[in-house]
Amino acid sequence: MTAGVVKRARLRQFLVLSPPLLWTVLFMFVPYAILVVYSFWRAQFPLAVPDFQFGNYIEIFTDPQYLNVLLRTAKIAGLVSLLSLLLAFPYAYFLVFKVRKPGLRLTLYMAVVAPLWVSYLLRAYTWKTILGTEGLLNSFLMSTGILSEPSSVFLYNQTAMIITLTYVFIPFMVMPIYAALEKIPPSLIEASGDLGEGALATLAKITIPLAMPGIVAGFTMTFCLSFGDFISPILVGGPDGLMIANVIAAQFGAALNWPLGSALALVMLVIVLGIITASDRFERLGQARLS
Amino acid sequence: MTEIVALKNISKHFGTVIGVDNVSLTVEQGEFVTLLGPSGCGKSTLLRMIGGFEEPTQGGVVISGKDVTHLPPNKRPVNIVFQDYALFPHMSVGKNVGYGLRVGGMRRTEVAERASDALELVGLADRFDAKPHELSGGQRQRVALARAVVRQPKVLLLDEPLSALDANLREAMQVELKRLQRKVGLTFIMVTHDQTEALALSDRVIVMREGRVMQDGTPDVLYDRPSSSYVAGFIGTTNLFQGQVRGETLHALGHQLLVPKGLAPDGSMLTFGFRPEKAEILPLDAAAKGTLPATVTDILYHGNSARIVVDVSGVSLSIDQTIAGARHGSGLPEIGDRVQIAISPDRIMVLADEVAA
Repeated sequence: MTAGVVKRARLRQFLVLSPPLLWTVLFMFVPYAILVVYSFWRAQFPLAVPDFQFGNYIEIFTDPQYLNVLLRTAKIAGLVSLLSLLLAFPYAYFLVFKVRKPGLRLTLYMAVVAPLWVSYLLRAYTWKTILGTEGLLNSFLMSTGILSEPSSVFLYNQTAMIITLTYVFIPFMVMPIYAALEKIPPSLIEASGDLGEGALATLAKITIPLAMPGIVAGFTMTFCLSFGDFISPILVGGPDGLMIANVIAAQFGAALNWPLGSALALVMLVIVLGIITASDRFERLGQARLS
Repeated sequence: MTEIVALKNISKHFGTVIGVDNVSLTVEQGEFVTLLGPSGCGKSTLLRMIGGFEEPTQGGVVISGKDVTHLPPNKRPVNIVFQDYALFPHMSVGKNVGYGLRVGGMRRTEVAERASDALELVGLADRFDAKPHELSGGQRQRVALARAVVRQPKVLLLDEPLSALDANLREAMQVELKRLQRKVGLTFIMVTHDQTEALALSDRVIVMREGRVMQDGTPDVLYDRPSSSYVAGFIGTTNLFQGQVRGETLHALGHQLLVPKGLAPDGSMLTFGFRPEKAEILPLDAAAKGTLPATVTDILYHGNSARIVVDVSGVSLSIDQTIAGARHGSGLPEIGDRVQIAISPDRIMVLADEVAA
C-alpha cells in the first residue's frame, strides 16, 4: 500500500512538472544541442555536411573580420551601458532621495519603465524618424536656423545606434539602481553629513558603494541586451554598425553558412554567460559583505 | 554655566501641518536635557533642526554663540545618534567610528588610534574589525555612540537611542549612557517617549505636546509639581479631580480635604491631583480629619507594593500601599471594603488646566 502511495505521489509530481520540463527541453535544450552539433559541421553546397572539426571556431578566432565585429559589438554595448548608467543613476537618485511625494515618484518611475510595454521595434524605429533627414532633429535645427539644409550625419552610424540602444534599454538600468537606492536607509546619508562629509563625499563613500549591487545588475542587463541586439543596427546603424547578431543572422541567411553561424552564436552565448556569471559572483560577494 | 544651544522662537511647518510651534529653549554646557512627549509631538523635529537635518520655517538655532540656522549638518559642531544607529554596513566598526575623523584630513594611523580609544570608552575595543551586522543591538548602539563622541562635538543629540533595545538591555544601556555622559562631560540632548528613561537620565526634561513645550523642569519638579494634568498624566500616574479651595479646605468629591493655605485662589473651580503613593488607606473607624470615605474596587498586587483602586463619590482613585508598611491589621484591604483615604495635604497638586470648568 505504501509503495502505491509513493508511486501515486511520484506520478502527480511528474504530471505537474512535465509541461514546463517538456517546454524547456523542446525549446531550449534541443535547439542548443542542434547549434552545438552544427557548429562542428562543414559548410558545403547546398548547406552543410555532418562532421566533427574545429574549422568554424578556428575561423572565428583567426579571421580578423569576426574578431572586429565582436570587439565593435562589445564597444557599443559597453558605451550603451556606460551612457545608461550616467543617465540612470542621477535619475534614480533624484527619484529616491529628492522626490518626497510618493505619487510623483511613482509617476516619474513609470515614465521610464512604461515604454517597456511598447513594442521594441517601434521604440527603435522612433529614433529613425527623429534622426533622419526629414526627422524631428533636422526640422528643429533648420527652424532655429542652425542648419540651412537637412543633414544626414545623425542617422546610420554608431552614434545613432548608441543613442537608440540606450533609449531602448535604459529601463533595465533604472530599475535595479532604483531598487538598490531605495533600500539605503536615509539615516545613513544623514549620518555621513552629520559626521562632516559633504554631499559629493557621501555619494562616493556611502551611496555608490551601497548601490553597487544595483549598478552591477543594471550594467549586466544593458550590456548583455545590447550585445545581442540586431534590430537597431538594421534600423539606424550604418555600414560600420554591424554587430555580432547581424553577422550570425547573415550566416543563416544570405551567406548560407549554418555551421559558422552556429559556432558564432555559441561564442556569443559563452561571452554573455561569462559576463552574467561574473556579475553574479560580484553581487554575491557584495551581499556577503553587507548582510 | 555657559549656554551652548539656544533655540529662538523656532517653528517648523510641513505643508499645513505644524510640527514645531514657536519653541524657545536654552541648554547649558554639560547638561543632559530630554525632550519628552508622545509620537508626533514635534520632539524629533526639534532635535533634527538642532542637527541641521530640517530647516526651521521660522526662528533661529544658535550653537555655542554662532547662528547655525541655515548651515547643513556637516558644518555644525554637533553629532547625532540615530534611532536605527545608521552604522555604515559596508565598513568595519573601526572604519565607522573613524569616518568622521578622516574628514578633517587626519592621518590614517591617528584616525585608527582615536577610533580604538573611542571604542575602548564604550567597551568594544576588541570589535574594531567586526562588521556592524556581526554585532548585537546593544553593541551597535555603543558603536553609534563612539562614532558620535569621537568627533568631540559641542552637543550630542540622541534620537530615541534606546527604543530599539529590549527591556533588560535598555536598563543596562541607561546606566551606561549616564556614565558615558559624566565621563566625557558632553552636553546631551535626547529625544524619548519613555518617561522612566527621561526621569532616570536627565538633568532637565522638556515635556512637549503638539509642537509646543508644556513644561520645562528638573525630573523632581515635573513629578512633584506638574503644571498641567497633561504633564501629570504623562509622567507617572496621577489621580485627578475637580475642586474648589476655600481657605484651608478643598471642597472636592463631595467632601472636604485639608490643604495648605494659599494652595490656589479662593473659590475658583480647578483641577487637582495627587500621586498614588502620596495617600494612605485607613480603616473606616480610624479617627482622622480631612479624609475621604471610599470603597475598594480593585487590588493589583506588585510584590513589594499593591495598587488599590477605590471609588470616591463615583471617581476612581489609585493608591499605592507598600506591603511591609501597611500599618493596620493584616495589611491589604479586600475588595468591597469601606475605607477612608488620607492624602498628605502638601502633596496635593494644583494643575493649571484648560479643562477646569
